[in-house]
Amino acid sequence: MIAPTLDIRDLRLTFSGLGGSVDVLHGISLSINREERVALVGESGSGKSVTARSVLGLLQSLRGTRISGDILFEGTNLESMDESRRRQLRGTRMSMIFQDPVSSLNPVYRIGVQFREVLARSNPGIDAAEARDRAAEILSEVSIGEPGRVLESFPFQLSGGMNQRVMIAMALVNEPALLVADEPGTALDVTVQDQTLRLMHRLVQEHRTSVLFISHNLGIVREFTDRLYVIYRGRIVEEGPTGSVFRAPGHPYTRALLAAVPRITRDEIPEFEADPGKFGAPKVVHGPAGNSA
Amino acid sequence: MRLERNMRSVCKLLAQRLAISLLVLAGVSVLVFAIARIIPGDPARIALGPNATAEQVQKLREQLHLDRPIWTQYGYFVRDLAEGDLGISLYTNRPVTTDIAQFLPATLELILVAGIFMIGFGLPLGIVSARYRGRAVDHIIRIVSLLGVSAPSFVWAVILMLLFAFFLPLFPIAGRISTDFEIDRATGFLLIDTLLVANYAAFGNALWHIVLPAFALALSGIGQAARLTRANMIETYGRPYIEMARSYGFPEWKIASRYAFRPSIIPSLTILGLDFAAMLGNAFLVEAIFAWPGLSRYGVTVILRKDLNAIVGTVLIISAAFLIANLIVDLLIAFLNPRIRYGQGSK
Amino acid sequence: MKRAAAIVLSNPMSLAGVILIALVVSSAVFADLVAPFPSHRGAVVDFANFNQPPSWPNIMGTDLVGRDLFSRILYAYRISLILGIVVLLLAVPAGVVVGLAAGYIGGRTRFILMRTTDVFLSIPPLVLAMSIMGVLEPTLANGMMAVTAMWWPWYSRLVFNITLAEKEEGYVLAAELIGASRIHVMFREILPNCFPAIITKMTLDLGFVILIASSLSFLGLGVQPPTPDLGSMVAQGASYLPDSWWLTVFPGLAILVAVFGFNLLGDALRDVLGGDQ
Repeated sequence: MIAPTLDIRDLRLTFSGLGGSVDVLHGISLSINREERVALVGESGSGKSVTARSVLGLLQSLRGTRISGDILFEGTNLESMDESRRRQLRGTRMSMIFQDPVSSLNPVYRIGVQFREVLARSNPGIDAAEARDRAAEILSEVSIGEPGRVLESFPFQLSGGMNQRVMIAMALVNEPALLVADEPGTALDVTVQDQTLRLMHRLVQEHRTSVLFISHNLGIVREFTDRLYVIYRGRIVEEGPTGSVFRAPGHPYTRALLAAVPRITRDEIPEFEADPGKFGAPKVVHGPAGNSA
Repeated sequence: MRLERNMRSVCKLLAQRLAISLLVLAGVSVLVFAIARIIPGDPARIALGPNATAEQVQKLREQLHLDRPIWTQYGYFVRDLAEGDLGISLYTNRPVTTDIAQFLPATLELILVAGIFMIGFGLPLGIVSARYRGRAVDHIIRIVSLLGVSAPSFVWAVILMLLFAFFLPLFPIAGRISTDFEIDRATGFLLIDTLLVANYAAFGNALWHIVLPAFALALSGIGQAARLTRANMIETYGRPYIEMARSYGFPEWKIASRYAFRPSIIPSLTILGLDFAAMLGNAFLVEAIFAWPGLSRYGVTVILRKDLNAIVGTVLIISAAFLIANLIVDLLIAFLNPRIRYGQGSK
Repeated sequence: MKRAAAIVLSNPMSLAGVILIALVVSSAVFADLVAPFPSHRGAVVDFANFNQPPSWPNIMGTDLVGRDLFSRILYAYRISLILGIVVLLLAVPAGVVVGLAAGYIGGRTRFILMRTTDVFLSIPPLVLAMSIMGVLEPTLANGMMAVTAMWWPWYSRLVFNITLAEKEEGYVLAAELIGASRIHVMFREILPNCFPAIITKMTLDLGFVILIASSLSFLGLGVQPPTPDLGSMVAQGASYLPDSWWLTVFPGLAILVAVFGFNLLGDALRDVLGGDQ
């Protein structure tokens, strides 16, 4: 059997600082098969972004972070890997797209320069002309009409939507097996976001990339993912194929989330099922284990 | 095309800054002139001494236009200034411009070398400190750089001299070059003049002489540069593009020295420019300890002798150098910050 | 405020700063009690005992006319602190008024005030004070004036920048809407928001004023003998290096200790209160 692209088993994470320690993840298990697009849905503070960053290994070196559990990538346990080998995988076998495209690209280097350095991650000997051609090629895949001009530009000279496409292209240019998309395009306006997400969706299908899609927006999740996990206060409360979860949400929190999506087609605002007060603001500080849900 | 647009906005910026600098320099000339004229007592009498006759004093007063109203005096001053004439020093009896031309190069040379030390030591220390924030090496660098800014340069000059010229006799204690070398004066900068005649032994000797005084002068700048770089780097480390760079697996040293450093240096440069320019004043202190034949002794002497023309001339020249230094920094910022280069405003 | 104090005292570096400042201030205040030779602050001579290396009872040695260096350093601290405090009491209000007016009123007022500030800032700090001292008699009062003249523009810049940002804030607009006077808006609404930055800068600057004043007297343009002054002590001892090292090293280290203390505390305050670079 082929190992899944990503297999997270019982991931627990605690931040400790001067004021004591805070449990953020209480044992997350999640898996993504080859070429599968999986969403992790929850509200801010639920632990979804933290999960995404742990997959990349961005939190492990922070002081005051304690992580337990296993993160298997294509069958290999990342948590028992040494840091430099794990770093080799980032940018080559797995990559990440961030919320705000404009501030995620370095402001003082041209797009072309940044592209070349990303390409050099998997091919250190790449020369300028070769890097340029490869970058232009993938930029035209995200429907950028004048890749030459974009490569010559600085991020602040491009629109938010352009930057987002650049970031998507950059993330996929090294043909990673896994793409982690953390609320992609939330900082953009809705129509631009929709456009770029469609581009991303097409691209990951063409490149056969597995995706971990972090979002609080159920509308987007429904459109772009095959399967979803609902995370609430650091725990997975529901999982299943996207379609069936939408049709028949099992957990009251999922129902509350679904009910919170404004549906313009209905004539009235839907009633909350169960007790919505119970799912009031998910706080970063979660209660002790056993918190009912 | 890109280059052309680039050049145009840089030129516009340069013209703008140049205009402001000239305006400020005009203001400085008024200020300095005003300071020089509030002098208590009669400058002519002070210059000639108590034994001069009343006629001699009167004659000098007329010669210096001191008998005219103050704005007329300023008019004369500006007219002469436009012709490059700063008047005659009452102390050396030579044109002030000649005096300054003789002493300024040694001071500038000292400042330039100190500036190189400031950048060469200060920035890397700041980078290392930010990169290893909270670790032992960070604490050590923070304390050392705070010590650096906590003493005037003459105190560092004394301490360095005691340690590295007397206790460990590694460096000479005074002067610019050993007396066995005869170097023709072409630019007045010994490090250049020795190279012009290809006298490498003399160049090495001059370099050996400048190390300690330049380092003493640079120490507070090094501390300041390290502190500033650290603070800005730490701010930059919180930016999303650093996390993005990490997500691409770039090594930490590369993130520090490239992705975090370049955006961080831009806001530091203005202040570093001011620190560099402050050395124009602090050089006076270091020159006094190391018997460096620069502007210091001349400046202090003319001030104590109340030699009006020389005081005004020296302050004006130093302020002009200060403004030029700031202008260069502005250009450097424009060069490093694409937003300014492309005329998109500064942020 | 209490919380801020607790944070400052819990950090070893700022605690060290507080201790150093306490040492410097108390030795200045209680110099008459602490100094082994209180009379040595003045023009006394003890030729039998001149230029002696550190030993008992002259723990820092004696100067060229036989006075106890340790006693003179204590008295020099007193003068330095008075000078620093007076300079800031003059320079800060002046700079604050200029900065507030330039920032809030705008137009021609701003142009004139800020360009004047720029002119003062375009002469390297020490050089401006030097040229002022050059035309005035070198006395303590004139020294304070010269240092004040070079110091106020920094506060004018600082307050100007804060005012520019604050005047767009809702609370300022609200005050304007209900018809508050300019004076009220400037001093009662905007000024309180400048205090944290001003306090931080003043703490740091108390050290730097001492540093600049000692530089002036080092050049012979400040406080004159026989008044004890750290800068002129170093200047007098400099020609006796290296043999009579104590003449320069102890006054020099005294400057370092005082300025370092204020910098340590100022740094901590900046972290807690925020403030300028």
